[in-house]
Amino acid sequence: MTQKTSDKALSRELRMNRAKACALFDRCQDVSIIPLGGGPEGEAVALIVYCSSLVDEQESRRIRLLLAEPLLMELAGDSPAASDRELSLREAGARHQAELFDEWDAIEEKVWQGYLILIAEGWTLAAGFRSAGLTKRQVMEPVNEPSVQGPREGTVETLPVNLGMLRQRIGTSRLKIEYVTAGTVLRTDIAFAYLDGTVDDGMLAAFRERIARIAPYEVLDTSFVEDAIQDSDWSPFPQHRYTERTDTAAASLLDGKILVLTDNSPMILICPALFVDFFATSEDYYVRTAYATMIRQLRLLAFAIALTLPSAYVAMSTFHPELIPNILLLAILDAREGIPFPAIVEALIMETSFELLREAGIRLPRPVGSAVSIVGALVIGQAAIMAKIASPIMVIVVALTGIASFAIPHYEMAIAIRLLRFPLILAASFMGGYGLMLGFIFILLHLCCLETLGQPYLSSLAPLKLRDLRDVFVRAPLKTLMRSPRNRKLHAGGPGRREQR
Amino acid sequence: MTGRKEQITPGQMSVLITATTLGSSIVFIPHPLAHYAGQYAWISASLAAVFGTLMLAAVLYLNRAHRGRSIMEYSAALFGKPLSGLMFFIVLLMLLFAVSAIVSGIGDFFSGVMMKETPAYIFNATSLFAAAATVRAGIKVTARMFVLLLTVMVAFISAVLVLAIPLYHSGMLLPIWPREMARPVLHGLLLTAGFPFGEIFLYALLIHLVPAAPGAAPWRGKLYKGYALAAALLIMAVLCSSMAFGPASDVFIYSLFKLASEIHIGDMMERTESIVGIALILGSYMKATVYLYMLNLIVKGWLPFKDERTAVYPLALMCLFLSLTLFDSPADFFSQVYVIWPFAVLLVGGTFLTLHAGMTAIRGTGKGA
Repeated sequence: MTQKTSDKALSRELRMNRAKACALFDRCQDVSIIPLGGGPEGEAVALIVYCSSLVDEQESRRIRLLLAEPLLMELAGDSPAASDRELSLREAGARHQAELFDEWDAIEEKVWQGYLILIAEGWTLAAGFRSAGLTKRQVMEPVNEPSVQGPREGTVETLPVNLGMLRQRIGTSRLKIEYVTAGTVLRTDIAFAYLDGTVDDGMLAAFRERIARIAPYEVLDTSFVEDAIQDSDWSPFPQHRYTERTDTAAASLLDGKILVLTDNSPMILICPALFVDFFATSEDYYVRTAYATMIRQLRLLAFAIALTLPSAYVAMSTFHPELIPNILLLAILDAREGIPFPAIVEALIMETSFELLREAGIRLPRPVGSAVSIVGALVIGQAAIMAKIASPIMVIVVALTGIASFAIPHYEMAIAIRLLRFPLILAASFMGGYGLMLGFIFILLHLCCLETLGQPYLSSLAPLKLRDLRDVFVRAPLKTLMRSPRNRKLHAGGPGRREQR
Repeated sequence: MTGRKEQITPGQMSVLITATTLGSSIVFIPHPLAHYAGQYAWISASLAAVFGTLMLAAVLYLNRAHRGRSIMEYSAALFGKPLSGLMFFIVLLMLLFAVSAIVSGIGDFFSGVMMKETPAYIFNATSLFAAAATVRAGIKVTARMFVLLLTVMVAFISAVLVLAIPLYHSGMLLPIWPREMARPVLHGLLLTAGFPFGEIFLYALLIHLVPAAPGAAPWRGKLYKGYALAAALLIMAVLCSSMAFGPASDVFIYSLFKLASEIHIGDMMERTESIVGIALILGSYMKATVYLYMLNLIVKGWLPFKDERTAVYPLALMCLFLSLTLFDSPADFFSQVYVIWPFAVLLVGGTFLTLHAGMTAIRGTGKGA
């Protein structure tokens, strides 16, 4: 045993162990190091170490009463042979579900996890009792993904609670959960879950290879994991998606996805996410087929409007006025009378103002935020029209674009659209419809090039999988979807993959 | 185009065939065809489509005989490197001309019809840049992307042809069988057999990208179907243009675009030709991309670049300069694209395929097979 290792090991002498504990937790005033007396001459025979800000007081008192007091009496009495005493300590530990540690590194880690550590005289092992009692947020309805129908259970910041909710839904040994620890200071627990036999083996191997890279980094949130494992850092499009709903997470597992859960974060990362996934919500499967289909198409329309409406308006009003019906064109010309800016400047002013208002509304405290939105929407919009900075039609275009971007169920995709809207406006202002066409070609090219964990990002559309489209443009009846290749694979272990077209 | 060998599925290959057969020709061919063949234009196009089928059959025969090998490999084995190199040099020149003519067509279309104040070189340069960027992304990505673009294009063509039904007058196709029929039909056949149907011979360069797995399901039917769809749409476009405009189809340079401008459905839908024009020009972009890919394929067969994509941008730049300098006037464009090009395709393409197919039949699959 080297010197370094012996430094880390517990000593048989309580005095030495106490000194070591004091040195280790120096200036950590929330850590209590309590000697327990009771020896023949009143000397301490054991030591209790715990972090008072993490430990539940009631639980720690119970442990001390149940275990420590009889133990102390035993230790203080006639001293039996050392081997007998160790045996009785082990038995007492097993009765009270104690974990045993022989190194200070492990003891330190467990203290920070809310364990109460008992170190006894003449013993080279410490007993740790789980008594974490930090107040945690209760399971409640997810804020970002509310639903009218379906379960209302949302994730919380505690990893075991989230994993428990998942286990409750998928009670099978095929649900595999593996842990990775990241960082040297935070030592964040990251769990990834998948359904064995359903997940693609190549994808899982690629995921494992990437998640291993995260070990040296300090991870504060699940988004750090996303950043580490994504294929393209500079793409505006999200390649993985988040959920706070356990039903969505369970459905994703059935779909062959991998989930990443991080301690202290309520967000579950679903890997990988394809482009079409961002237009579906869990509620689509809880409502009637016709309604779900209509909603899907509405969302796709919202995507088109949010991405193109301002640029299409600029292209049409500048280059192709013949496309606008004559009466509407006259109305637009009339409204633009006296406005000193060309359509592109007008569009950029209004779009930038809208983005500013949106950002301000999000960052401000909630009561003030709503006031800013009202002021922005009503006062500034109206004033801009009165001051001839913008035309009413442009205000309608920008407002409609904003509403459409709110109709996209996943915030990350809405951000991507916000980013792409501006280059498209510029392209339309320089080259009209042709510029728009070029813009679309480049966006489509990027989407076709993009891969996420080895899966083509635009999959179902490109490469085209006609069978999968019944859960893209429409939401086919559930009994039809249940007969899908995905489910055949899940239930019968068949190949379940169609040839890529 | 990454380091590993690229492959595409038969379905994707058939999409490429449909895209290149329809692309650019759907906008440009009805006018010169009407000029040559008058009301018999559709008959010429139909006969030319049959000729194109024979060319496709020859391409597929070569692919079957030389399973898994590119034409540059087996051509060198059949004819020796010098003769094979000479043949591919001629094909390279043809492709340089074709890409330049396609982007020049895009420039002329936009600067002549839709955006008259913007100079043509803007359109030539940007469309070539888009094509080059697509080629650099690789044939797999290109094929995936074209599935969507082709769907849009076919939807727009079909919509125009259907919505224009009230404008059609079948009497415009008369007389059906006059004495003077043979000459215009043959003239039209000469044009369309070269452009676009004869150009299918260029697919001999690409067809090896479909993996030749032994025992795989027969896939060649998919290519015929893709080609048949393109041929049917093109013939329909020619037929509808003749029925709508009669002898005047000779006057309108972009007759499908003109047809779209004539569609009026109440006050709701009128003057939609700009959207249709943009959708149609997508075809030209797709065709330019595939031909630029073929160009790069020949160049990378000759020059041992570390990165297979090195030559793409220089080739695109060369095509840009050619597109700006090759054609002095619209009349010059007409003569080079509708007179010389079809003849060159028939002569070079026909000879190229006949020589390879004949030699394969005589000598088997060549040395090293």
